[in-house]
Amino acid sequence: MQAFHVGVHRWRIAMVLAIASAVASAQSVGDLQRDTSTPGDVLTYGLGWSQQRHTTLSAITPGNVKGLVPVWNLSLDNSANASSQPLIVNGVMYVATHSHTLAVDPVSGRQLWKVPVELPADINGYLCCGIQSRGLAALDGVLYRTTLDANVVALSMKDGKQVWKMKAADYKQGYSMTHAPLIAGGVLITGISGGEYGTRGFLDGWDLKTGERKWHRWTTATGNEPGADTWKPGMAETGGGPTWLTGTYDPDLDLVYWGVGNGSPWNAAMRGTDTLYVGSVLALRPSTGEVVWHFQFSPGDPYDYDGTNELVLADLPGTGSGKVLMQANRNGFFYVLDRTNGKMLSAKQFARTVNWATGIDPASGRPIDTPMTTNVRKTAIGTAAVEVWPSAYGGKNWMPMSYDPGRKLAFFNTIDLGMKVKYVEQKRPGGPNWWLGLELEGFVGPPDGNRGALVAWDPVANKKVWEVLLKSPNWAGVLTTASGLVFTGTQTGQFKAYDAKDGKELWSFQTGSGITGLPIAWEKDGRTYITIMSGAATVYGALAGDPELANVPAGSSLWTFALSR
Amino acid sequence: MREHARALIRVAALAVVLGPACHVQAQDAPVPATPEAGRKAYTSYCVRCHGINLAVSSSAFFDLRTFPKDDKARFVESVTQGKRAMPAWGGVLKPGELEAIWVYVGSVNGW
Repeated sequence: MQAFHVGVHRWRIAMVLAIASAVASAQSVGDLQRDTSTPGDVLTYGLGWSQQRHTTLSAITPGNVKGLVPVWNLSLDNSANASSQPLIVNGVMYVATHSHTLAVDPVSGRQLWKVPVELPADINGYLCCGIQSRGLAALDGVLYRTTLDANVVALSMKDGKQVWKMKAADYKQGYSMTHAPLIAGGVLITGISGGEYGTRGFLDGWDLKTGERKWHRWTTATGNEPGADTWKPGMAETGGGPTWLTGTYDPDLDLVYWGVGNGSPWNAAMRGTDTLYVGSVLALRPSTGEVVWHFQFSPGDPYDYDGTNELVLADLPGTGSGKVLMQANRNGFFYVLDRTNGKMLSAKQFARTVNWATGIDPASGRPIDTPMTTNVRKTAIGTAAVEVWPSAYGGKNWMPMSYDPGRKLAFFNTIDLGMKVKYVEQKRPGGPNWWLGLELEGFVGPPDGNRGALVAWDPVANKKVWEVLLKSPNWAGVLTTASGLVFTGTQTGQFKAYDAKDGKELWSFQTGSGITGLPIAWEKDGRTYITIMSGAATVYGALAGDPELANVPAGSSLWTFALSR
Repeated sequence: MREHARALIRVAALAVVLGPACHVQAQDAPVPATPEAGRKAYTSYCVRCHGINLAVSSSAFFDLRTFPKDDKARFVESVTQGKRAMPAWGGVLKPGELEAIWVYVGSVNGW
């Protein structure tokens, strides 16, 4: 830890000047576009519009990572999920929690300012899966975030003062927001959560300066919209299709790629047939919200297989146009699509256990159902429970992968669990009540007791390169470095570095709570830093019945590491 | 004539308040205080945090397997008013559901 022998008075003046000069050098959209080539800062959720979560900073290597030490820790003063990614803009770190937005001096770890989010007392009943805010967007001195009660807010980077606030939806209808907004095509784009509450999903485009809503796009088809006939009458209006994770953007094609989540209720036979566009990816024009193409990963979504996992953009020559998007889907298959036109290039099973489909048909892109799934699709009221793998948690959940464009490998955290469900007919209850249309009887672990794994995947050869089996799945994002390191965290609190070559664990540090945040790498004055939030996620521990996590306390904080000197 | 009209208006108003899909009888009848009825209500409101069959392993949520069986007053207060991160369910629970959930918790814990 650096000693800091400066008088308090001089330190304060220095901080004020630092903040002033930071605001003076406002960033542009071009800066956002170049985020991956300016690795010293972190201007976007995902470390770039492609969300590769890769850094070219190479001072920390497999050879010296053993010397990585903590340089500071900052308490976030909450017991909620720290499932979030900070930004570094003009030398200042910005962090979103569910209850606050804060600015931190990233070298000293001292908080610069912190402003609260006013939330209604009953909001927690409307959150299916955790109390968190996953991150921020930033442009030209303004931070953008969402709030749990479905507001979109713009705040000044200088002091956190609100610039504008717009209500995206009425939370009492079952809506909420936990994701980071996306700035694309000169527009601020947000999605929505609420797929367990009988809501209808949508995307919004907002004016960056004023917050005026420019467009609104529903994700379920009704009336004359294409795909409306895939719904039973009246079901699309409450059919789910939430858009709860941030999309990616290709500025050359001017296409935003945004995933659409589960159908509501989970009971597919109650809803209809394919029920477009649940379980899909939409490619949209950011300025208008017009859908240019779509691809449905899980037609009808029979098992809560959201299509919302990060749609990572990459260049893979020799594959169609060479411009792809990749997704490790909830349904257990790793998809590679041509992002110019949505054509499926490949879809291979990455999850260890899959019993709902035997594969994805290469010609149609549709799953080849097993008899269990054929039956589930037409049976609204089941006579017995069925055991489904992957479970509703999926073969991979929200925690985002890293793609190393040098090694052309994807690294992500997977889950190996099944679930026992019995389908029942249920009327939409409304209010803070789940509408699933099934009885969730329990989750099933695999015979070898390894409920998860960190996987290295080759998206061209479509196979696992290595995997590290885990008793409990990791629920954290992954970061890779060009020097060949893979950083991620465990639900028991260890922040780890692995060798990208073979998955050998090279370094580990025990933090105070479970790690479920998204690591970032950044640089100041020639020193490389790695920052991660620690603060246990709750959705897995609440339901999965995994005894390993019973002694992990809550308590969020922010950790920054660097090579000791 | 006026009496009849007034009665009609009252019935119409009631229908508007209750909604077209509602059966008055089902709405009003309290849920029985049985483990099965409690399990159904628990699944609706509580399972997402407190776990299937009370088996929760996130320390963020109170482990109901450890709830003291002679402190029903505490249970009623926590559920109806909310406590820390738990929202208040008082305005959401239907008649009888709170009692049924208490009976269900007891049945799982072997009280």
